[in-house]
Amino acid sequence: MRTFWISVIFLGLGGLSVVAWSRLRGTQPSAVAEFAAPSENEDDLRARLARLEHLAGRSVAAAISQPSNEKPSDKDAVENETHAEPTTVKSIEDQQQEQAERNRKETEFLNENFAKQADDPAWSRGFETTLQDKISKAFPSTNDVQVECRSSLCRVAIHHVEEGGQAAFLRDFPNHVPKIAAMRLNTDGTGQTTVHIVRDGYPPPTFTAESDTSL
Amino acid sequence: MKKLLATLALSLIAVPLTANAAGEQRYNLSMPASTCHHTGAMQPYAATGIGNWTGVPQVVSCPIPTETDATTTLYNTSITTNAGVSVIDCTLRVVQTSLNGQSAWVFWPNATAQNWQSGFGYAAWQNITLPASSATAITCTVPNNQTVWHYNARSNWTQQI
Repeated sequence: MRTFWISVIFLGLGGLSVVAWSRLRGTQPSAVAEFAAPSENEDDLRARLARLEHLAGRSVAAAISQPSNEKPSDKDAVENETHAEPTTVKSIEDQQQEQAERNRKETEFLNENFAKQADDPAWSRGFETTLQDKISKAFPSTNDVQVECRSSLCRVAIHHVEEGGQAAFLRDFPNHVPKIAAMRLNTDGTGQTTVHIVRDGYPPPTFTAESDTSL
Repeated sequence: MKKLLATLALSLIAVPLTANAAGEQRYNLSMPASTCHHTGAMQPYAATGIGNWTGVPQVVSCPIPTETDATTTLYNTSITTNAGVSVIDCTLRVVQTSLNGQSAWVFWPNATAQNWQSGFGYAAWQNITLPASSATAITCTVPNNQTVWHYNARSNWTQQI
């Protein structure tokens, strides 16, 4: 009895396979079937070749312009072929230029914030001295240093004359500062480093698109 | 058998990721301090720790893995040390560098909990939002005869390491 049922299952699977195979053979895409037929003359061959190139070109254009999870209609494919705009990818140079511009604006923003601040001499004079001492001890070859503090911001400007001095300062200075909330180090490619330091317990000024008055 | 296999598969996925009620995944990192970067003379101690017996203060820096393409929230970050007589100065440092390398912000969020008693030390920082393109590490200045043991981070960074 068990052998009988196993035979029935195998026969059924075999039958389904035959049906599926015959259906697949009978459903060749019409475009492919058209080119599968034998050609009769040269003009006919040229016409078919042009048709094939048109079909291939259209499907490629549709594939590029459509998201892969959507099935494009013929109408969409034709529209995309005629109206598709090339995707714009910014070059590294453009991105770096934009970043340099943003850096410049953020530095200006911090300089303006610093300039507007009132002085808090009870904190600022002492912190200026602390920063001067830290810098002169940790970076003895740096002699052109300007330090100025207000109520919650300090601005340090250093001109590096020694080769490698700027890189060493950028790398090591964060390890030598007393307890603060944040700082921003900025270089402009001329050997000048500007550091804005935010006093401990105070929030850093936030540069946003709204902060940029030149936009 | 099927239930056993399903349970095993689920348990492998669930550690170290967990999901809260809102479906957000959180990543729990717990690392021995012996894996941290440190100044040369420090030595591994008792399998997980790293100790300083050099006679002068040394520095340990333990990196916190975070998402670099988007903001990451660090729900809780902590480090355990032995306190001894001296206080070990630990700070969380977040460095965000610009694309062209011309500028960098460095942030030192304040610790929300510190305990330097009972022979051990503990510092924690809670709910810190890290900007994109930033690197984060706990940095400790370790006095002589002191040890750093472990550091932990709980964040919404979902990539496994």
